[in-house]
Amino acid sequence: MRPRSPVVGYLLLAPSLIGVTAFLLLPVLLAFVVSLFRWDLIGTREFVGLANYADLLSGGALLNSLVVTVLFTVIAVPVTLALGLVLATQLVRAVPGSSLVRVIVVIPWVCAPLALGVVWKWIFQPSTGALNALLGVRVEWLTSPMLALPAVAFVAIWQQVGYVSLFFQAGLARIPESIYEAARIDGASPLQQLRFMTIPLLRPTTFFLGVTQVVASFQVFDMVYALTGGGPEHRTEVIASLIYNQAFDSFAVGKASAVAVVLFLLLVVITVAQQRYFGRRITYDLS
Amino acid sequence: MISRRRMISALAATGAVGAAAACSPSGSGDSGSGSGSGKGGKSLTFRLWDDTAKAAYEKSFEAFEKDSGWKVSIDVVAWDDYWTKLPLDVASGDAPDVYLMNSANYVQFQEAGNLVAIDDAVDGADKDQWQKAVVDLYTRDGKLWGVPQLWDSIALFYNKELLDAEKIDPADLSFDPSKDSDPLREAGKALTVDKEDRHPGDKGFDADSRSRFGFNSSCDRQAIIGPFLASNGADWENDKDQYAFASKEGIATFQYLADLVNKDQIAPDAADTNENGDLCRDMFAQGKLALFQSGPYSLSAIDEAVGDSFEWGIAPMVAGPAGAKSLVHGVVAVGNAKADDDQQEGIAKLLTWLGSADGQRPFGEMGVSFPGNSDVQDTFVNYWKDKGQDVSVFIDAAKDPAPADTGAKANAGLTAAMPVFQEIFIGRKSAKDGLPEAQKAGNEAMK
Repeated sequence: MRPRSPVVGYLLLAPSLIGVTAFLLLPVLLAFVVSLFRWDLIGTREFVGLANYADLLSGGALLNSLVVTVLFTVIAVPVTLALGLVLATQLVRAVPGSSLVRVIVVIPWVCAPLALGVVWKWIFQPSTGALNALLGVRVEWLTSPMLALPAVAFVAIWQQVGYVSLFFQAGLARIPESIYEAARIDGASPLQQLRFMTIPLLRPTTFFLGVTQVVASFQVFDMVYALTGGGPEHRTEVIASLIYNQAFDSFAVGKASAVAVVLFLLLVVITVAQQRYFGRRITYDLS
Repeated sequence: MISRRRMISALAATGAVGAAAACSPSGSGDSGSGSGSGKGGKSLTFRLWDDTAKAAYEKSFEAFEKDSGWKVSIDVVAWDDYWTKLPLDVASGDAPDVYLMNSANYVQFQEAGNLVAIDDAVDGADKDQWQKAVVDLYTRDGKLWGVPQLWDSIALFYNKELLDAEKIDPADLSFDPSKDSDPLREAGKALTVDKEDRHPGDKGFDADSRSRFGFNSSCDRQAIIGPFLASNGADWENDKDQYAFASKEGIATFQYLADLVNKDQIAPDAADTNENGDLCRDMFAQGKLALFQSGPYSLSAIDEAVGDSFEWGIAPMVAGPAGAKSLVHGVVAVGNAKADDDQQEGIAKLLTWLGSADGQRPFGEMGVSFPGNSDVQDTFVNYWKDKGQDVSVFIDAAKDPAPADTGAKANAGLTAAMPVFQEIFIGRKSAKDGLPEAQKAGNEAMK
């Protein structure tokens, strides 16, 4: 049989290739180029080589934002995945009202993070906020350097857990009931079923959610912007907040681009590492 | 035809902020921005951030369009997005022909050659009537770079019923950080009450149950920090445009303001006011704050919110050892020097109109703020006189003001210093430790 011309393949790929090139590769390349300049958007550009990277490293702002972002990810992602799995194990059961609950838990994910941030900022207000009124205490949730990041992470978890549970529900539904029946006959406890069957069989779902949640955590911005703006004392200044602050508060577009390049490289490394780790441990075939 | 340089700038601007694209403001205001050269000429774009001023500008432009033959489209971009969108538009060559500018940002635009020199573009006798404090603020390298539009100064809003009950005359209030007490602290204590009507210092006073506060000591650069620093003889900047507030007087002033919150307990908690800049204004309007130092920009909101619930008035701001030194914040209209050549004639005409008494009359008549042309300042005074308020105290406050922010990156400097200021107000840092840190962070950001 005569092989099909590769031109057809390239033509079919062209729309997505053009999109990826114009809206991903080109901006990344331009961001790297701009990171080599000192530029405030308003005046002329001055080539400074790697000085923006050196300034960021020596100034401590980049390191601080990396630490904040990693801490945010370490708090938010595992808790979101764990709560999402627990929620899914309950919602996957066909009990009365479960369909309604499934919709309700997904509502926060559907809402705009910026709007949710504004609402939670009211809830967290020290003197007039609903949370303190409910608890009968006066806690400075968002202005305390110790509590601000956990508070922001809490809101992120609350927003994402319903979305994560949806995927786990789909994953759980694909596991044949016969496997559990066999395990029960063999005397496996519910905890053992979870540990040795459910979790391993959900690895494809967990991998997908792990990658997307980590990437989303490293890119989180709008909710942090609405809740704390990166404060207090830069304790919630995640990488995206640093990019924004450098670009639009300090008008240091070169430095902002340098941070963006670092973030891009970081996400590539994390994604590749996750892919390699899970790639050896994923079983897709349940038949 | 779009120039190569403009194309490269636009591409670079797109790429530079590509990673932050989701963070940046999207869309424009009511109408498109950018030079009107592509619309067959005789068309100008004008941008402002204040939606409440839009109607006054529309009224002003009606007469301008009739006389000049130029059409003006107004583009409102909200304050939160204004200073992020404008640089992006300048970088991509899409800045409006004429736009409003504030003192914290104009030097950066002027140094980059983006602004029309007013002395070259505008003629007419009205120049002599422009508010001097605002003209001084926008004069650099021997030239004026903006046409004064609106200005404000600082005064003391007071709840007349509460002050009368305590027999306090707001005009007598003063502060002195070097003394153990002063009229402001005494008045603040008398006006602050907990749920059992006990005052700070009374036996059993419960700060957590305060139902009314005396004074709005909060992390507000324009209404509180700037005026108090200057009134205590402290400098904000030195002659090299670097922060110099971490002086002995500056530290004493900041500690005094923080103590009003945390030690004297006569001001709302900074944990609340740091997060909500309008909280004190709202508390005043609700009768929960007796003394509120602020500017004319609070007049409308207070008037609407208070209604007939209590009588209020305006007195001179709280004086310090060096007198009562208000900040004067002036907004100007600037011309886009990089707009197409065929737009420059219209830009000059519009700037001239915006500086004239006729051009500014709607600002006062519609209660927006004090017009920059003193010939029509009485329109704003009369507007509020009809509502029972004497706002001439703001005019007096503008006669001997404190120096305002200057330098190319004043905004970046304040953004860097403000988080440390907030920590001082909240009481987690002393002024002695925090102010040098804030000064260093601010000066680093302004390099």
